[in-house]
Amino acid sequence: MDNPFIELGQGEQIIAVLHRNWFHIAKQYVSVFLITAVFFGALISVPIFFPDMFGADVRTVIALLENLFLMGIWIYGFLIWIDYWFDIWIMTNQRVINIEQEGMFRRSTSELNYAKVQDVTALVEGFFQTVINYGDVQVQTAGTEEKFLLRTISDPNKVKEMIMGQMQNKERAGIDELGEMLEQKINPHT
Amino acid sequence: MVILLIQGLYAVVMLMVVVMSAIVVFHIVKYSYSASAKTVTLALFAIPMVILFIASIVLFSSINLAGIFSNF
Repeated sequence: MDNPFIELGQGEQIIAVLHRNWFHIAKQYVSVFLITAVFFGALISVPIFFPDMFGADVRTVIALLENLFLMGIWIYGFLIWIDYWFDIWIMTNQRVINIEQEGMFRRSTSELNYAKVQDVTALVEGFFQTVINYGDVQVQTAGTEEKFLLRTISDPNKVKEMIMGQMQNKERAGIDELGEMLEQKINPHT
Repeated sequence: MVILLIQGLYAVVMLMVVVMSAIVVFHIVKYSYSASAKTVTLALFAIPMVILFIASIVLFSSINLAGIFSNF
């Protein structure tokens, strides 16, 4: 799977690319739809109730206002989309990369190697979170950033299991490597 | 005078629309994870935006500002 954000190391493969759950953005779009509905409802209903107030010029002005409002809403809708869709968590077989879009002009990238993971917790809290099955995954680390957070992602328990699985794979690979090194020391001619 | 003010305000609004659109396009082009997502999102944003922009200019230029503000 090609990606434009990270350089993969030797033997490193992308396992999953995670985004926030759809409900996170749906909540924000509800207010946008409501405002749009109220605005257009008013613009449609006022000429019906007061038809004599509106000559051709006034109707053109109203059409222009509708147009400007639509442009504003369209841009605002996409700004919400950008803030949502460009928060990405990339899970590879060696690390988790957190790319977070914070507003328009702030983007942070952090990564967590499985070797530094001490504890993983999946948190699903609330009515909608339980019904739709989304929540947070908190990763306790041994690094300078003590908590690594995957926020409002779908099926957090499955993601937790994926991280734990990769941690175990890493440990097993480390033990296998140690075993091979010891064997070479003991039997150098094999 | 009032007509010039209205035209100036409209120009400022349209400039802001262009700047914000450019910011959205920049983010879509630079930070989209896959090429297909980039193309679809860009088309979804740009096509209606261009139509609305052109419609806005047509509507504004068809308004008889002199007639509306003749008493000012």
